[in-house]
Amino acid sequence: MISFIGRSIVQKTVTLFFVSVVSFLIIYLAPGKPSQIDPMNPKFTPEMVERFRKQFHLDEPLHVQYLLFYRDLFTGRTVSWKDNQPVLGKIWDRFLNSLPLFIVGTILTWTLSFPVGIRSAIFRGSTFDRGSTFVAYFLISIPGFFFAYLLIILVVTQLHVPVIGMQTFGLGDTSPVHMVMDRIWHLVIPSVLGATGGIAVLSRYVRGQMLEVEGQDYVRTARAKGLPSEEVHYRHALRNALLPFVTMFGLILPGLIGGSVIIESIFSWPGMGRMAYEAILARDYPIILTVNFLSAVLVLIGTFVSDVLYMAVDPRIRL
Amino acid sequence: MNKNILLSVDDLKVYFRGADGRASKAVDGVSYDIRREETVCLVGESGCGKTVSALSILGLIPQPPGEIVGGRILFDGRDLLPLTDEEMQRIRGNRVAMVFQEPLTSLNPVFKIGDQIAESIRIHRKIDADAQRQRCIQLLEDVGIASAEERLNAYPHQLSGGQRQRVMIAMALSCNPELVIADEPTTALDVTVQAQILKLFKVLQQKHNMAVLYITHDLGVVSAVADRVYVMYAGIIVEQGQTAQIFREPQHPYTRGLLSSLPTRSKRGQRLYSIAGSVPDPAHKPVGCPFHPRCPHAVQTCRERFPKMCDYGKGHLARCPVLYTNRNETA
Repeated sequence: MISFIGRSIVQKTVTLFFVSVVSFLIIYLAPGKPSQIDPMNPKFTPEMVERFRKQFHLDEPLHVQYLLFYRDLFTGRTVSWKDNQPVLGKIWDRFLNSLPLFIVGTILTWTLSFPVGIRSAIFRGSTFDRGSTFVAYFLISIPGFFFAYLLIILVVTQLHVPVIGMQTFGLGDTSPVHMVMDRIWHLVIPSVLGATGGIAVLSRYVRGQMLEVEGQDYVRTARAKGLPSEEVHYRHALRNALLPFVTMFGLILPGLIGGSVIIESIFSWPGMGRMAYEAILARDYPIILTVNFLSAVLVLIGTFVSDVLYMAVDPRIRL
Repeated sequence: MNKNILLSVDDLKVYFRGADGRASKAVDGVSYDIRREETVCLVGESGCGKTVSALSILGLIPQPPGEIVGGRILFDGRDLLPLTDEEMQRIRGNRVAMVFQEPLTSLNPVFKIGDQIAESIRIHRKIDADAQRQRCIQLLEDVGIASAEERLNAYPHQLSGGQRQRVMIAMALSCNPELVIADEPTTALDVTVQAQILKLFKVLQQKHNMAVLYITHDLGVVSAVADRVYVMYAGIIVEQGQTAQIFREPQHPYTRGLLSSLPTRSKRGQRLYSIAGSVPDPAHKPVGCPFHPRCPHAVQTCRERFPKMCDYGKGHLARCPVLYTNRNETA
């Protein structure tokens, strides 16, 4: 176990190094440049462009730029080219905004997909199975932005609840209960929307896993022992069907930093996804590279967590 | 009805419905009896319906696509087919237990073997956890697993193939069943381990006074363990009798073919006999005798009429009227 942890840390550090090099190169190879150093930009005189180039270390050779960038990142001194604010602080603020969406969305996805998928598999071919299959494919097929407008029309025009942004603008000093309810309403619609696709896909996946396991010999053995069908399904079959999802559980971690561009844009939600998207448009390299690096770190941590969880639930796996 | 008969399968028909709606007649009118403490073998090639007929006894046929179309399964005088699933649960693992072919896939990989054995004791016997544990240790010792107490905490993948099958047997014996159905229990094992398992079965059978229904395609196993034999072909019984009768005077051309295709030392160097053709697809069985396309003795009636059982005396029956009349004429 100790040696596994040591090995993982070494391997993942090496991977991270290559990720940092490749992502840095790709950003600099991409066409276009920040507007501050664009000689065609009428807003800046050649002297100002030269000053920006110096400030951003763009006059240095590429490998020096690389080293300077990661030195600044690890010492927390990276600043956005757009507004000179510290990048980590900006990301942290946006992260706090995205976090509730992520948490509510993930909880909805994981708590709804499993009961639906398991029930569909156990009662295969039943009305419930057919109904949930139809709804799942419906939700998979419908574009997110279109579904979002359906929800907005429903909630805003029928229930008269505003849902754009993180809270109603200019609510001022109303009662705390009203404030909390307002925040919850603003949170629920984007979360539900973010979760629908996940619920549809994950519940199909759970159903497939469960069906496969139900056909295994050991499930027949469990029935041959005279176990009641609940124990056969929920103990012998489910325990095995859940194994692959333990791996997936570690991999939802990177979603923390990804956010969702579409949903955040539709609902004017100031989250991570929109910040990264806007940074790409503005060629704000420090933000793009930092978000990229942090998400690589989260992926690597996620795979490590998956490995450890897998070992905990599957006795056949020893690391 | 004979009180000595423990299980009586009577004209059992199990069909599987395919996607095209055609019924595949896996078991098509099979009857057999098992007396108390007797060992009966059900022999046949793969796909002849022997496993399906055994799974039907415990109500383990997946329905759909499977469907028990007709017949009765009398266990201790009571028909099992109309019973509800709850009623069957009280019989499964308790009065009738099953040992499966592939011990690796038949044991749940994520539970300790001790827990898997204790499970059926917990369900069928109202005893506390400590007594369950003692019973598990006792069972593992009975089936010949060394340091049984430590082995309770082992997972299936930590055991060898033979040990796994011993665990399966311990599981089957946990509630002292009157009948154990063993579906090819030694097929997945090495020959030396096979012999040990068969011997173990015999010892345990005498100790616990149980009847065993062996399902196998291995005539070597049959000659070693069986009191009586039923030979199945394409969903029907083609010959039945005492083991000695079947091996010394096989009457059905299929049984004769099976026995001739066994390699023996006296036939060394000669080409091994094999029955021409292959088992018919259960969805497209030939009219008349299902064996006639492969039978060297087939005549016109074999292609038209389903053959009757012919009595050779002392419980020896074979479903081949052609050879039966020939015998009487030459006699």
